[in-house]
Amino acid sequence: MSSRIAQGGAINRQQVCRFTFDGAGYSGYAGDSLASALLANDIRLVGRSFKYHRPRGILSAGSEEPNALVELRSGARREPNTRATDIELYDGLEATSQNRWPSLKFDVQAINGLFSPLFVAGFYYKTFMWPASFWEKVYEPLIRRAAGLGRAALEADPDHYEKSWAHCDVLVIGAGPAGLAAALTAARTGARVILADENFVLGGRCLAERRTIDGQPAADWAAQAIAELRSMPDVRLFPRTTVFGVFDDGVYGAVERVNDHLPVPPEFQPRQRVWRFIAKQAVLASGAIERPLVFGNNDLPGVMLAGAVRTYLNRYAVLPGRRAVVFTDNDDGWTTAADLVAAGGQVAAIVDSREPVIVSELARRFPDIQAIAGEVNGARGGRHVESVEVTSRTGTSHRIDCNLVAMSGGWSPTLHLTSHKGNRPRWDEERSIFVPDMLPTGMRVAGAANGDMTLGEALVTGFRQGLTAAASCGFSGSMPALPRVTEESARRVPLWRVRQALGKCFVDFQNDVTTDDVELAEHEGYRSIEHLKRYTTLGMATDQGKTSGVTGIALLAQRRSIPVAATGTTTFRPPYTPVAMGALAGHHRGMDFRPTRYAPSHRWASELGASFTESGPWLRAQWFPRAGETDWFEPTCREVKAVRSTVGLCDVSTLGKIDVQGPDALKFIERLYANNFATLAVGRTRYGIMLREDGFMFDDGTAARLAENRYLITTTTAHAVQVYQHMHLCHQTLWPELDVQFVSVTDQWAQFAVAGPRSRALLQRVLDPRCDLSNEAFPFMACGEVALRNGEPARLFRISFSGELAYEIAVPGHRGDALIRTLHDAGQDLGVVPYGLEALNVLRVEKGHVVGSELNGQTTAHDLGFGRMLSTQKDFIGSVLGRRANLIDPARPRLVGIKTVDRNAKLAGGMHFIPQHAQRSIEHDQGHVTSVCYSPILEQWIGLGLLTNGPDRHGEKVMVVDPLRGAETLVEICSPVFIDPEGARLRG
Amino acid sequence: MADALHFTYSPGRLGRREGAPGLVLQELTQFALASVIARKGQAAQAVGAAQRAFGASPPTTPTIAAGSDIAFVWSGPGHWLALGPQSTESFEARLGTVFGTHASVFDQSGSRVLLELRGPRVRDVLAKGVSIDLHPRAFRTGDVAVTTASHLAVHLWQVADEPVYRLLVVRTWFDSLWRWLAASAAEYGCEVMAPTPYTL
Repeated sequence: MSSRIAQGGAINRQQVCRFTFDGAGYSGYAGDSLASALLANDIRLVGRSFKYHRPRGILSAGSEEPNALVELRSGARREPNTRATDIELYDGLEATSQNRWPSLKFDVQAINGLFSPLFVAGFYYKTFMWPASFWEKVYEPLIRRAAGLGRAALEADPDHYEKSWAHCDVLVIGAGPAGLAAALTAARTGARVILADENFVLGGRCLAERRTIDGQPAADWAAQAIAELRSMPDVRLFPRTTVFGVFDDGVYGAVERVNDHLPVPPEFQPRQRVWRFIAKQAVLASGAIERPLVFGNNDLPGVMLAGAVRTYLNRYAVLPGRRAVVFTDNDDGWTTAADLVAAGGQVAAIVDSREPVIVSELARRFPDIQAIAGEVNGARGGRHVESVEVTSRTGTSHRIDCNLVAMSGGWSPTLHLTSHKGNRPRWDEERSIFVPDMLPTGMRVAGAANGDMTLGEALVTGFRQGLTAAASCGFSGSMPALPRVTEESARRVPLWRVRQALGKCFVDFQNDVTTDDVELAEHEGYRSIEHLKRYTTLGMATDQGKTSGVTGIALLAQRRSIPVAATGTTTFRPPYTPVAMGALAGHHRGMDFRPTRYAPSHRWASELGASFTESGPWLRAQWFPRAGETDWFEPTCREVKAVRSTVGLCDVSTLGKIDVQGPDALKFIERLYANNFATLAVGRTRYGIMLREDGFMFDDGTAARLAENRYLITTTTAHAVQVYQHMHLCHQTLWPELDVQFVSVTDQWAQFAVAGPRSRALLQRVLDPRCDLSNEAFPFMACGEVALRNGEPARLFRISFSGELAYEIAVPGHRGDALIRTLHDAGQDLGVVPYGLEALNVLRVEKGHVVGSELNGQTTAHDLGFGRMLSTQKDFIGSVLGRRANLIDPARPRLVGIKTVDRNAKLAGGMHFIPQHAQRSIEHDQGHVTSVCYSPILEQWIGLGLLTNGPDRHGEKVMVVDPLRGAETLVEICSPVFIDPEGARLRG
Repeated sequence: MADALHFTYSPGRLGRREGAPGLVLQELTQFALASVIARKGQAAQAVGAAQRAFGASPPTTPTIAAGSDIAFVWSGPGHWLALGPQSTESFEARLGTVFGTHASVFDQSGSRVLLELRGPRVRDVLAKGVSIDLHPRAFRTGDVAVTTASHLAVHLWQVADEPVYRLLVVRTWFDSLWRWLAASAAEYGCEVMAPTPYTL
């Protein structure tokens, strides 16, 4: 650890952390970042640049880092593009440099740099234009291989992520001096405070500077502030937590890196947690980001931001270079020179681009350091800076040997979050910075984020904004005595680029955008800052131009000879720094991606080995295979035959059930349904259809009149929620005068179909013997309350979806499991068979009942053969628009049955009807096949379809064509009711 | 396989095994539940009828009001969930007699699963799926929320300052809620108690 300073720093020298970088072993201390540990080990070359594969080192000491991106960890936990400057060192850390081949020190593609005149702005657009056939097959793979940053892991992420909510009165974003001050004053009023900071240690630049607050080191002041905050019960501190976005109504998105500082998260703990902070008020104290200066080869490893140099010196006790040149356009740069000297480093020269009078005034404080009023024209070196070329204002040139260049182009407020709601910052010409302008509701800004750059200003504005924020939440307190702080100055005369450059001058390091690219883009007409960004990629990728954006804007302004204020700025959007998709998904991935709804018979069905399928949110049994049955076909045919010959059981609880009560219940459902319900007697059920306002079919189901003013409505499984919403919309907005009350009782009732010739016999074994199920007492479409043998109440409906003698029996949801077992046990000698969705589908196709495939949102009642059901005696939803000429045109595709002429031929859903001898083309298309099945009763494939003039064409032979898969067959058009058209069986 | 996905409630310890559990979880069974919705313009009369019959005044704010053996959980304006012990008598009929023409009553006894949650980390667990503020300054004993937990509709109310919460969730969604709850409590350790009959 040759660059480690012997003493000081906020590192724990007792706790050594071993780590590897590109496979080689090193060590650092707890409290190090990966970047500080690399620097301590004299690792200066950390990565290769995006386009030219130029050697790159560590530019910054924070989340703004554009260069030092590494792949962290390995295998399934490999994470690309993590910032070495942000990563907390831990024992066992593995990091790998990225974007280099075959090795970091020797990169083949560095040859790109020689051809850099080709790789200018818009290079891809210009080069990979012709021929168009090469776009996808040649150019894209080529570009993808050459470009890009790190590699994502290919295996599934083994770690757990989660999301959480937290509420507070005052959210303080950033725990530097301003944030700590704001949190203190807000918390002392009794307000609930959340303080979040992206770094793994709270304190911000208090940790990085040799300044004093009330005579004590700033870091000690910060530690005391944190201790005080920690002692308060309604303050929550969130280190390692980046507030990445501002959303509506005081919702702030944040990601907490709960266990990223460990190789593997402890058992049961998440790796990361996304927080939604809900804050009445927020104080943004996110500080500022230093700007690089633009000179030749300013991207060489060893060229570093001056503030970052201080962070490495003071916080991490690392000397990033033994012999430094400081290059600055402001007073703050001189602090770095002082800190370097204090840490035992050598400062070869301070180069200040401002007037000689300013420079000589400052130089008086540094009698031992050569101060030059002038510019660094360029850095020299292979894989690391070895010297700089300097030209003074008097015109003399020097070459100064050095292995560190600390550059400062002034600080830009970190105001990204102020513009997430669409506000743009304002250019402050006097200080040459963008400052927040309009703010999101409830947000205030303190300290450097607001352009108040000095420590004293940060504390004052922090205290004040914390207090005001708390006051807005109804808490009062008073300003504390203002602490005494070290004097400092933020004076600056901006130098956007050096006048005479030696070599490439980088503006955006991450995207390899140079001053030449900015000029070329402007020259080619990309004069808007938004166009400049997209043409040159300045400000794109993982760092989103944190260090380059303002300089890019200023250079464009200079080039166009317009003020910066007129150039504008690109929009900042969430997230502030990249957020893993896994963290955003949290618990909701894999089978938890969305909730699953289990039918009441699920456990029983799974014990029987049922195969399940997703049906909307439901998991429903699709068939119940027996020993020896290996596919879906055999069990489905067997189940269908059983229903047609003995008795079957099917869970139909998934149908929507809505209980409608009140004096106006009938009036209400009369307006909802298109057919008549006024004549429905108590104890009877009727099939009903609902239309949408536009006259198309909405849903179908039954309504059972349970009592004078009580109806139980059923809906299809698919439309249960929409029908319920529709009913509320109608009641609340169309007919609020109706005295009607309704709730969903879908979950209240476990409901099973008992279908087949022996269904009555089976039910008689299960129901109270006094229950009369004869046709006289309980005919087709009857409904009523019954009792089970054990006395428990149930509801019985004599309705049939299969066309057989059938009932549906319902008991409260928690009794469903017991009832299905009772039914199954009681019917063994009757040949009872559980049947699933597949058999259900075959049974209903055989009977010509429509489902979602036919109720597809494009069909009308007339299309589906329900035209005569539409009441002419009443008004109902859809009645007016449903009468439009086009909707009742008999030439519309209308419901028919089809059966194959060749009894061995198969059918597929979606096949198109084409007249027998017509060309297979869209002009001759006459509709399509909506549902198909193999009918084990008819022993052939049959189907339902929507055919032009369909009902008038029974007996005609038509081709059905599947052009996609190249299949076609001849079918005969027939009635959609294949089985028992007279309905004798269901009335049996 | 699908059946392996069907998570079932089973007593025992989940997640972290060391130390006291952060969450203690118990299903409450054998309760009767009904939706009560006031008829048009009859909310005050419905409240009065309940007050006379049960000694509990169905609340007009999101709170719970308990009488001798029946509690009313606010569910919306003029809309309550009545919660009582299971009995052989029909809960719907009993309520129907009391409310008469003032309210419609819908049996919901089989539609929900009722959980009781307590333990030192109960708020942290709930915060992972419930977006409302459960801090004592915002939500107290007797307060009710009609909200979502892990995107599922729930009724949530606080029954003791400790704090102890009750969570009423739709039965057919319960497994998904359970998986979220188990995952969210895992880092604190979760003790699942054997189900117990509901009491007020």
